[in-house]
Amino acid sequence: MPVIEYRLDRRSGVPTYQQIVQQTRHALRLGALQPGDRLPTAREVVERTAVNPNTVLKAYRELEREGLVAPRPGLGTFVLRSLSRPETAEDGPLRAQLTAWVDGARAAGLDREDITALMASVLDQRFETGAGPAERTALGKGEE
Amino acid sequence: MTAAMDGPFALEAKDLGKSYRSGQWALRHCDFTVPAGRICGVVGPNGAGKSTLFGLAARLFAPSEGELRVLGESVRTRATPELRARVAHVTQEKPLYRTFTVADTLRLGRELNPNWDQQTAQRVVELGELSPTDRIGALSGGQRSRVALALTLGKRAELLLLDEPFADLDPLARHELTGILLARAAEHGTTVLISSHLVSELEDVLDHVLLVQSGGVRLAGDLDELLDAHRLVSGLADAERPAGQVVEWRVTGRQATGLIRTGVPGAPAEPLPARWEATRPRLDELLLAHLRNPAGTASPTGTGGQPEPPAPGTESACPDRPSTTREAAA
Amino acid sequence: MSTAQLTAPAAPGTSSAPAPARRSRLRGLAWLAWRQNRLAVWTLGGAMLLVCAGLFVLHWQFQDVISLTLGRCASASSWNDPACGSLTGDRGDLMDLYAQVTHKPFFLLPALVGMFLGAPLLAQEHERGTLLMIRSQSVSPLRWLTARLAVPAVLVTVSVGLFAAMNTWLWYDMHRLRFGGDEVFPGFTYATIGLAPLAWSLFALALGVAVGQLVRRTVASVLVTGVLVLGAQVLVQAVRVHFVAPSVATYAITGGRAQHLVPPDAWRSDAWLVDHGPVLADGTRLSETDCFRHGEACSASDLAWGSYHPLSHFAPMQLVEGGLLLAVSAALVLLVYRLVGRTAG
Repeated sequence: MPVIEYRLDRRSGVPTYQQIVQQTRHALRLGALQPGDRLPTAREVVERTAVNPNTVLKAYRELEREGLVAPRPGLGTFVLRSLSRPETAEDGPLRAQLTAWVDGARAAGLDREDITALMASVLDQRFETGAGPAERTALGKGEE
Repeated sequence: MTAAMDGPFALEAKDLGKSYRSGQWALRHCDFTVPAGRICGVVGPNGAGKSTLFGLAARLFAPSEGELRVLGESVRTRATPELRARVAHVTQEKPLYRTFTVADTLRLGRELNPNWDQQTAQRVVELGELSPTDRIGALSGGQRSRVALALTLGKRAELLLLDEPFADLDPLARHELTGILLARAAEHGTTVLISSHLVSELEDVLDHVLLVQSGGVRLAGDLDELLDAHRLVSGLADAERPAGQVVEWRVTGRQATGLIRTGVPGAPAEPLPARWEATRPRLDELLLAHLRNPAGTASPTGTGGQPEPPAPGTESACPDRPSTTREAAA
Repeated sequence: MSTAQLTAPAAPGTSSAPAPARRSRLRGLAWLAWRQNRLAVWTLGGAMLLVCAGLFVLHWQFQDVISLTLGRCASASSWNDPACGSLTGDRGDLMDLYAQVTHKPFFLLPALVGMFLGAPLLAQEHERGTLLMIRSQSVSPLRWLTARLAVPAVLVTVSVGLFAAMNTWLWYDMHRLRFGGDEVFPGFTYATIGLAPLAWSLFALALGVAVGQLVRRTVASVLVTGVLVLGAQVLVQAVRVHFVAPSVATYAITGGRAQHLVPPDAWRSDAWLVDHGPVLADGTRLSETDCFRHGEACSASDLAWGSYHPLSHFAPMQLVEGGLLLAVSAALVLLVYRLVGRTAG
């Protein structure tokens, strides 16, 4: 039984292989994937999601390059390290600070959408990377 | 990028042509290759010559001119049983014996194919909730398609030629059968040619494309490279036009949109002039733009639209396109 | 997950009884050919077995009549024997049965074989496109064709051959009775005894297959084949007389008129009188029907002639005819092979 199942959204505009990479990273952050876990084989992913095998292999190569997973010939692809950080854990100090900040924003009358927009705007400003729709502007060249 | 095209080719066409007794060319002057192990979409309008291409690759008839090599063997040589076992073809009509039961049909596959994979064939049938004792003649079109696919997948061939395999299947069945098909391809390195109208559904499935139009192969190549080599641009109509070969150009009021081919795949894209927005096209956007403009390039009335020579291995030259064509009526 | 699905296929709703266990021992193309001809084997084979059983019963009934006719009732002293009195009626009934039951319907046997066994064989494969499906399997189409043709050919050979043998046996019963009714040359009888049923059925089968390959439409092929087989039968019946040179007899007239006389051997019910008439003084042989043109010379003649096929010509005639038909059949089958194999093997 594979420990992760990919949900691929054709209409999202995000290339499929990136969706696989992102969802794997997400699972690593949440701790749903732990070091030593075996990723589903390309065959298993392909059969469930009906995407091209090369897409899956490309995503796995990307994860491998990032040092997150490693293939063991004949056995499969295994998770090397986790992305879950103590800072993001339920009882971490950063989380507590953010919770306090969100409470403050709500008290100031912002609703959920306002807060999300504000967060995105600040994140964009601080990281200076494209996200969302702008990702398609990158013409798929930059990442390779 | 999986650009390494020097591996063995599943299909290799050189100046390939097929004419009918009436003198009409169903396919002419086609040069293209499909590397082994690809999931290749054969797309194009009805009557473009897709079925003729499949028929030639399946050795249903011989080419009228030029050469086609399938898995390294010329289709003009006599097919040995070993060679037959390596290629599976299912035509658009998906013919089966109507008096046979589902079990009989799978047994036919088992008896006539040395590499028969009963497990896969049976699984395809059982996922469709078909009973082995159902008669083919009593099945719906979609159910028959499923049995035909079971017969084709069970053959365990190296090259699958699937002509409109999913046309009468519901979305769930399409997804499930595509999954099984791709899983087999992933496991065995099978080359798959799929012709289909459902282009948008195929974007994630394909990694190679042949665009067939009016009896010629207009576009052939690795899907990612093709998409990377094109830009969907939009901006003000009176602004300086971005560089590249214009595939399609449309002006609506003050706004202009177009599909531009930016040259050699893999090479860095030239920077856009100011105030143009560009995105990488989706497969259906790319194909529709090419199909809507059969001449190859939109009239280069604007500035900067200098045509570039087609990149080797990606654009197929079919200069003498026949005026009338029809699908193989085999 | 996927491996679990492989081992435990979900089959909701359907009674997924383990695949039908009655598995024949046939393999490969032999199995397919059997499966495709199963219905024909049961239908034609079954019908022919029934017919042969009927003929056997008829033959068995003949035996009493024959033994009485040739034994106890052969001498004049048997006139008062009550068993012999009813013999004439019995013989008549049996002869009627023989003539009615076996002749006219079985004249059509080759046409039926051609129409319903031969014509659809390839026409249906073309019409439904299943030939394309076969060509996508790992066998050579020509090997498939061989298996496809062999089963009906064997079926026809065995079932029609058995019928012909039974019917010939029955004819021989009639012949032994010396009661008439044992003619062999008229169309209906000739076509149902000896080699003819088999040769014609195989010919019709080959013709039907070839028509089906050329026409590629089932209904049209069936009709065309029926017309062609019946046409060929009419044609061959017209030229059959020339397959073997007729015997000619010349004989003096001992009383009566020359143009009405027939050679004594040609009178037999098992002979075929081809032509006869007077011989003129200059040696010209006239046909009886031409006699009136010659007036006196004709009726004054005291010599008559006749040409005829005695029973002994029956076997050579059928051999020539059968040989011709089988040669044409072979040519037709060869044509079908070439057409099916033409496109890239």
